Amino acid sequence: MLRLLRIELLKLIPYRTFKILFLIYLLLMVLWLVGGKGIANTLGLTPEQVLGYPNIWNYYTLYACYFNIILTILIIFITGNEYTYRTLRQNIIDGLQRTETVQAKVLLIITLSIISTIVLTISGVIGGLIYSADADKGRMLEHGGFIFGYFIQSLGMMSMGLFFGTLFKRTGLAVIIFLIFLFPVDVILRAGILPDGSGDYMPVATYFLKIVPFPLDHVMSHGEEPTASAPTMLSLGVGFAYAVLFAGISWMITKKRDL
Amino acid sequence: MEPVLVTVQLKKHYGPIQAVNGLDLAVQKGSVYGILGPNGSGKTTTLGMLLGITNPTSGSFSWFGKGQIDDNRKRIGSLLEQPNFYPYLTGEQNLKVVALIKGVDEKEIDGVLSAVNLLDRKKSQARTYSLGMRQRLALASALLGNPDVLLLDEPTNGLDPQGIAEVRDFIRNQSAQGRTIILASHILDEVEKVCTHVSVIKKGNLLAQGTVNDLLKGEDQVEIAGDNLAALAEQLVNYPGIKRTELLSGNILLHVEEGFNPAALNKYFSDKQIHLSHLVARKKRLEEQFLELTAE
Repeated sequence: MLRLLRIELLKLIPYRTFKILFLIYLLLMVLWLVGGKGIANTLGLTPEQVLGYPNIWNYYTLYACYFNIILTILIIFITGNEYTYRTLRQNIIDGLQRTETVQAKVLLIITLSIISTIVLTISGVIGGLIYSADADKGRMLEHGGFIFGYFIQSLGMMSMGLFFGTLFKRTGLAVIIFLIFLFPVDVILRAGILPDGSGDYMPVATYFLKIVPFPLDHVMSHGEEPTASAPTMLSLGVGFAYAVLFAGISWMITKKRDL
Repeated sequence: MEPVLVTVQLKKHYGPIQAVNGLDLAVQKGSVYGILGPNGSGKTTTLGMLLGITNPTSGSFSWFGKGQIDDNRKRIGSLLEQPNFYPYLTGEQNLKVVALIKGVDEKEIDGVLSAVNLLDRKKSQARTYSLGMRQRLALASALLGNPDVLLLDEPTNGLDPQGIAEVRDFIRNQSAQGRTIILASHILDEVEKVCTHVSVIKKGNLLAQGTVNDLLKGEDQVEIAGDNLAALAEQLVNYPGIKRTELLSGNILLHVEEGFNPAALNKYFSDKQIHLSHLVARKKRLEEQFLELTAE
């Protein structure tokens, strides 16, 4: 297991696109905290209500889920690269099992999910310390369930990236189709074609609307305590199931395909 | 001798196209085994199956008597037509990936890099390497972990004469060190010069398999002509040492046994008051032999 992760990190760390994309991700994570006042303003709330404990976990993860699109595109790149450079083929010729090639990517996804969750937790704790009203300083990890929700969302999104990269092989094509799937297709299916409510747990809806929901009642009530203080078990379960499904299909494709 | 590789009725079909059609190969330890066939005969598909990147339609193969387990490939060094590396990694980093996959000590990397004269460029990204350097890096990668078998697919493709000579020397050296070598090539001359054993395949079918001496040995031929070809042919019916007589448009082609004496044939005819206008003795060229083997 550790050997597979070492192989993946050996390939990843010198990769310049990785450095750039990860830096952009970190920058967005910090910028959100720095620009938090403006965000609170647009919602008609005070910075303490959005960036203070415990609501910060709901709002921060809500936006951080969108930043994960960058990490997903990174996974599409490194998966597609293995096909365009024909290195997946070479890895197997050198003695790696087909299953191991997918395992290695899944291990990398888990590692990146852990890292991004740690980044979110640390910067959220710091942001909360800065913005919280004194009375709320002790409520640091209330609503911390959203942190776990973000972890599941990270896993699921990157697993989706693995699936798109594996299926389409060419990075450019895979990224474009992923983005189309992310916005128009899912919205059209949900709003236009499927009967009301039945598309609520489509992958994209699950990852962007269900696991970390927008705290509508909090905004509408101008700062009354929001009712949702953690992701629902159903949304976490469905989100995790999709992560397994995407990785599983990628594994099946890799197993069957002539390289 | 124990076989390093055995294939049994190995088949690969792409829809109605039969790329490899029931190959039965056996490669003995220590041999230099050539897979000879024209372009598109299924050589690369066969190697792809043996290396786990192409799934066979049916049939089986076994490396080292251990079946098709993935770990077998860690004992095989491969050099396929096109070297594949992570372009943004340095030569050294690329070999680290290979070493981790094969479970080889990373300390061996410098050794194989210096063996192919790339040690001073090991910190350069693979994308900055010339084609020749990339091929040498692929060679270094193939040698990593001291493999029992070297598998080479058209290793001299696109090389200049000096490069070709180097590769052939390399193969002879490796073979002398006791490594088994499997070489796929469409160049008869190459197989004839370096291989001990050969299989000839065409359109995915095995046409012949054996030692190079048995299969590709040149055959003696004698060409004769005279005023009346039919009369000449009549006289040859009981002449000793002639395997086959072919009546061509302007002459007669005799396929003869080794040690056949053309002078004696000439005398035989002049004793009968028949005078030859044309008499040529020659070795049949290997190319013709190969073309004959692979002809429709």
